[in-house]
Amino acid sequence: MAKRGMQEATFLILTALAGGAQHGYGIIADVEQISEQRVRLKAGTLYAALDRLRDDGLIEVDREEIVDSRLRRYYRLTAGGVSTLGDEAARLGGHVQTALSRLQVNGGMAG
Amino acid sequence: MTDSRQKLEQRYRWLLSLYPKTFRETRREEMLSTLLDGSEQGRTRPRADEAVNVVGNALRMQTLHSEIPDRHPFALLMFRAVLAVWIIVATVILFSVGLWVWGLVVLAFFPLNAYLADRIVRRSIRPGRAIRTDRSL
Repeated sequence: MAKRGMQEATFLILTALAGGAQHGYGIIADVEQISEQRVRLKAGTLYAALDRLRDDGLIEVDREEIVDSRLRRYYRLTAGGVSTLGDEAARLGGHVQTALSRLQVNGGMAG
Repeated sequence: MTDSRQKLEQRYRWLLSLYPKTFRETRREEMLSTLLDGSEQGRTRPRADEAVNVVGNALRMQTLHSEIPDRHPFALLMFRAVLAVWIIVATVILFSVGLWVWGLVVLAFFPLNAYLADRIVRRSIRPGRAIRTDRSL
């Protein structure tokens, strides 16, 4: 994964899958909920991302189900996906901590 | 399945046919499920934003990752290079004999030739991530 940090959509997709295997629409709905309705992934974007994540070895197919004669393919994180998401979360968490502590220090001056 | 659902499915299916063949074979059915899951009941036409998104992603995949790499990329690239030189030479000759319009017509093919050469480089010589051909996923 890039050292620059991953895109928000990618981060949210991996976060959705961290809760367990999900199919395409399940991921879209979950990402929408995680982001408090701010990010609604479109199908084309989602599948381009899933394709890339699978090639990078971060996710894999969990199982397939046929519901109402429609194919549902479930994805889950690989071990590599778990550690990549963990690293990214730690990195972002570090930034958040820094931002909050600086805001606290400077809060009196700004207010 | 209701009539409107079938119409919607048919239209999405048509949009998805714009994807490269290998991607289509492995992903079309599940993408269709995802698109239909996200559509409200009674809708017969794809949502505009989903349609634009599908077309955009399909075309991007078509340009960036063609599933059939060129067989003789270096020969093709040589051909494009020689053609580029000839376009310039022909343009100079036509300009020098006063055939301005014809000179411009020939010159107009320069960017197309450059684009095609760039495509050869991108899909055969320094390909990006190739689309997986693994059908079992």
